[in-house]
Amino acid sequence: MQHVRIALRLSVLFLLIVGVGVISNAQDSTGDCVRLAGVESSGEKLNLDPINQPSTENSIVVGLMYNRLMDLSSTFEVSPELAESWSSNADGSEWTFKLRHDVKFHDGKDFTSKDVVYTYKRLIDPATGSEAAATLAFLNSDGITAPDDYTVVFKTDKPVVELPVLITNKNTFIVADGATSESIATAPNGTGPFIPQDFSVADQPHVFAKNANYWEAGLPKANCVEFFAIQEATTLNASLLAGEIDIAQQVSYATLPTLQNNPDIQLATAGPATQMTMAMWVDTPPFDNPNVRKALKMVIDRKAMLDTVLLGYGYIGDDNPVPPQSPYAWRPEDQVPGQDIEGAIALLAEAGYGPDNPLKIDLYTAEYIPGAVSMAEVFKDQAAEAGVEVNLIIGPASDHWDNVWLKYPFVGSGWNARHPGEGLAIAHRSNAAYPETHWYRDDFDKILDSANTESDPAKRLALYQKAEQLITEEGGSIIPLFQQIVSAVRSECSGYEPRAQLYRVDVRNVSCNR
Amino acid sequence: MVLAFVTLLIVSAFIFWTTEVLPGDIAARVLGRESTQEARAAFRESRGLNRPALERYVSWLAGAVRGDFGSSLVNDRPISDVVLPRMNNTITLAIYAFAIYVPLTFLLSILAALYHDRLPDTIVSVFNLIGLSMPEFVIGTLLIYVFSVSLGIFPVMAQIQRAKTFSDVIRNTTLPAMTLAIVMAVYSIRMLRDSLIEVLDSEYVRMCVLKGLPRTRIILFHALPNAIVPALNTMALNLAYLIGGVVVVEQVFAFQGLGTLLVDSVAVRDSPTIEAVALIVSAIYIAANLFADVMAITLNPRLRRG
Amino acid sequence: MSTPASVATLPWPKKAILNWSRLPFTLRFGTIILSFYLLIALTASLWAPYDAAKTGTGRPFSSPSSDHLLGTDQLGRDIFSRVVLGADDVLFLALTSTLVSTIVGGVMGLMSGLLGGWIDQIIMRFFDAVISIPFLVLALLMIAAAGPDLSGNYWLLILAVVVVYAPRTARMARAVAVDLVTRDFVTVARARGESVLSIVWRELTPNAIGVLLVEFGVRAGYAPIFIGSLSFLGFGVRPPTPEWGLMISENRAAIISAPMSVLAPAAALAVLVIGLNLLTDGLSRVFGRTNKI
Repeated sequence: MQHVRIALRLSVLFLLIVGVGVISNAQDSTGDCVRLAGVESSGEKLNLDPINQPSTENSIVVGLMYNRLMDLSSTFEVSPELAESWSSNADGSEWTFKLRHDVKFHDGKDFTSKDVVYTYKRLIDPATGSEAAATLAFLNSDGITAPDDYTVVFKTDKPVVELPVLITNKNTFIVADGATSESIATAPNGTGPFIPQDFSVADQPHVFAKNANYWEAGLPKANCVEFFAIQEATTLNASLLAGEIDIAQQVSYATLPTLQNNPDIQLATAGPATQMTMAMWVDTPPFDNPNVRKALKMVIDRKAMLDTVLLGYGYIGDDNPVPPQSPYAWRPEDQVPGQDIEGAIALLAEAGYGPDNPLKIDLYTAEYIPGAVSMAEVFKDQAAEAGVEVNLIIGPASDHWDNVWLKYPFVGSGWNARHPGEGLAIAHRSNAAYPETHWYRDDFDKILDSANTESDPAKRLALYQKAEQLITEEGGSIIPLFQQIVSAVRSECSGYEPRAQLYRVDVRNVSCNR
Repeated sequence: MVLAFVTLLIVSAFIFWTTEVLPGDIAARVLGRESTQEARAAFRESRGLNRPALERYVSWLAGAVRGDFGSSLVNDRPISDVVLPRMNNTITLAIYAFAIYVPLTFLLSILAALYHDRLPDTIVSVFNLIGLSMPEFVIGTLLIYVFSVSLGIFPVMAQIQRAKTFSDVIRNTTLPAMTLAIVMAVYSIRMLRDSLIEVLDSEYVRMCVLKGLPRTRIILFHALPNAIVPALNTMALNLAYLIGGVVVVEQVFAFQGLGTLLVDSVAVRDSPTIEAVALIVSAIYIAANLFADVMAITLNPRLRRG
Repeated sequence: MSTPASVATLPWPKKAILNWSRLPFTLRFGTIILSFYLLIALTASLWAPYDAAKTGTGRPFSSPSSDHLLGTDQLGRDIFSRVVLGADDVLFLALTSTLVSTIVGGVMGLMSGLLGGWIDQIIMRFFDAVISIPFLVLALLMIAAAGPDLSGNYWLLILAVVVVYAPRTARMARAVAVDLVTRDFVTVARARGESVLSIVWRELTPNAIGVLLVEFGVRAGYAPIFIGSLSFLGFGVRPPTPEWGLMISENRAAIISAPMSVLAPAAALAVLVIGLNLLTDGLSRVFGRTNKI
């Protein structure tokens, strides 16, 4: 009996401690905040400066507190934001933007053309080290001018007919004239719908209050936003189910079965969004042989891959950086050829590979985007049907872009949705900053250049399609899938529309009734 | 004390040089995949990374001795600004987890030892072994689904920063603290149970029984002090684990702690931050160990002769 | 525990092991479990219904059925086949790494405790330094330093486990040794002029074996989980290897959608751990018994 008593005494102590927690079960009062969750965390890199955005966590918080000149739809149509209207000269080498007159920064300062000129000059200034410098390389500092307080002019050396789209990306949110990384860290100032409250890197959540003087009438609808970075898919899922968050920008494919038929949760999709790529160097054996490249594209059963890797939440790709669903696509989804093992074996035989001498390749990849490792595993399995031995070398996601990508001849890659003018150039032009397939082709460059300066939309489309066909048929990119963004929203909330651009979460219209 | 500094010196040198040889460019990692070469070069220059490694280590060490750990390479903020907020969170969680872990360990191992080879022992052992083979995130996730999603008692996310009252802190951190306590307890219970059984079997304890002392007294004042020594070492080790090694649990509960900071810093190669966190963890470990040794000697006078 | 010097130096208990029915129940049961695992590890490739890496054998996340005894994972791979085919990888990784770290750590710890003085101080300071670095970070640093070509290499993972475990085992072993060196039989052995290694082997090991075996049993079960935690951070075994720690880790998001994809490897691991612990528990009893004769 005595040891029972010892046990009792110790358990009372233990229960007391846990008990305090249970008794104090009071709900937090979160007012009518919209509680928003993202899946990426920037860690210590997090900041409110649009100039560099190491993860979507950054982009989302930046998007809450700033505006851009224009907004972009999921299909890359521009719509007015801080710029009311714009026009260009005949050949597209000079663009004039008229700005709104009624916009104020959070600190009360008027928004003028000085802020716009400063923002763009800052982005292309090598000293500030913006990641946008490469994609905005067609701009030059002297060409960005402000004839008056509400007009901005962009003059470029060569015509850029898609300039409004191309100057609208995740880094081009307008900061106040004179703002620096240091000033933004201590006193962030924007024109956007929400104002950060005592922003600090290690906060969980980050709290944003409504901008009472916001220039769009009646917006934002919510009084405040709380942003959580939740990297674990199960935690995100549980937070949604338990009602601790209202909107999850992206939910993991693996947790979808628990959300699909849940009356408390609405799923919303946008896309095609991120392309899933396996990039081969076309100048390095065995990928320098066009038959090998073609065969590796033919071994893939894209439908089966879509149904497993993305559980159907995506689109079949065409080895073309422009998705088949885009109005710019070379051929639509239903014309994308299916798996052809026989054809692949024949092509491989022509290249000198067969059962006695199987093609062996190393694929370097990582879980840099959700599903990347799964895609590699399915590819390995499907390629085996044609006798190709794929050796998967999977490393940590944090090392992938720095240590692996662009450094090995066959790597996993991916690009978030881009306008074709940018998407075709970024990895494939001869002078591309990221030559992931070593595709140095003058004929391709010439087609792109003439497309970018062609002001007739129909002719431009034809040129883009010609470039796409070249990449699809001969290029080094295997692009079997495009992901959809799958967002989950609690039923108490309405007004959320996901975008194909991962960096853009627009909660101006969201309101929750709890 | 000198020895403690020697250990810390070894740790700092080890961390610095391993970080130094890691493949990867911090500028590329901080500025991102799409940054230009010019921007990366400017970044390296601004952070003083072009100086020789030895020079950087010595100047860092000279600062560290004076209590200045330098600035984070990532955002140029002083290390104390980076580390302290997370350290507060981590220490709160660690204290709570320890408060569950220690009684849990004693309770269950005494129970198992008393009923050695009988039902309570078997039950404790089986649960123990199952716990031993369950990764932290499985335990954490199961707790979340039981206590948050089904019962709604505790929140999923350990939002410690917005907890204003003591009871809020307790409520928000109970699940991660429980997870950690279970993870640590399974190993300690096994150690303590085994050494308790051994001590209970010794002539010394048999003598106490013959003398007719009450069993409660024998266990708490005679057997436990003798059996506790190896368990103390484990507890010291666990304290170090709680401070810097709980990345996985932090991620499961979306908690902003030192473990995540440490892994993030390794991912971007931010050596001053890695150094600072590793040294904090080492110092706590050394202090805990010292405490465990002193306790061991106090409880077991025979060790004094050795 | 005070044992006469002559008895404590007895060599390994050969006689006791020969008589199966006289062995402790835990030892017999543990042996049965482990033999079962070994059998699966050796023969699974002959009878597993599907290839471990074969995707699309069924709908993703199917529930258990006659075609898929434990259902399928997200890529439509058969969980049952993956679990049984993973046995050899798990046994190899867990046993090799733990055995090496127990031996390395045990010998270093016992020697350090026996020698004392400044050698002891140097070894223990060094081990303390290693222990005090959070183990995931230590492993992460090592594997990152090895570069992408070695990521997922079994020997590298084993080395990582050894670097993490051996110092901890050494600390434990040293504590035992410090306690033992004051005993008469060690003093006698020293007086006889036995070499350090010989004292470690003949006097200390038989007495420390119980502690070391428990240590081995506990750590061997944790090794796959440890390697799984590395996978959690993107290091660890290369997919699609059906290693249980990796399976638990890569399917963790599916723990509600397809619980079997996480629970089946976890259960396989749990039974292995129980078997190992019963075995080591039994072994330490056998050694304890003979030591007490």
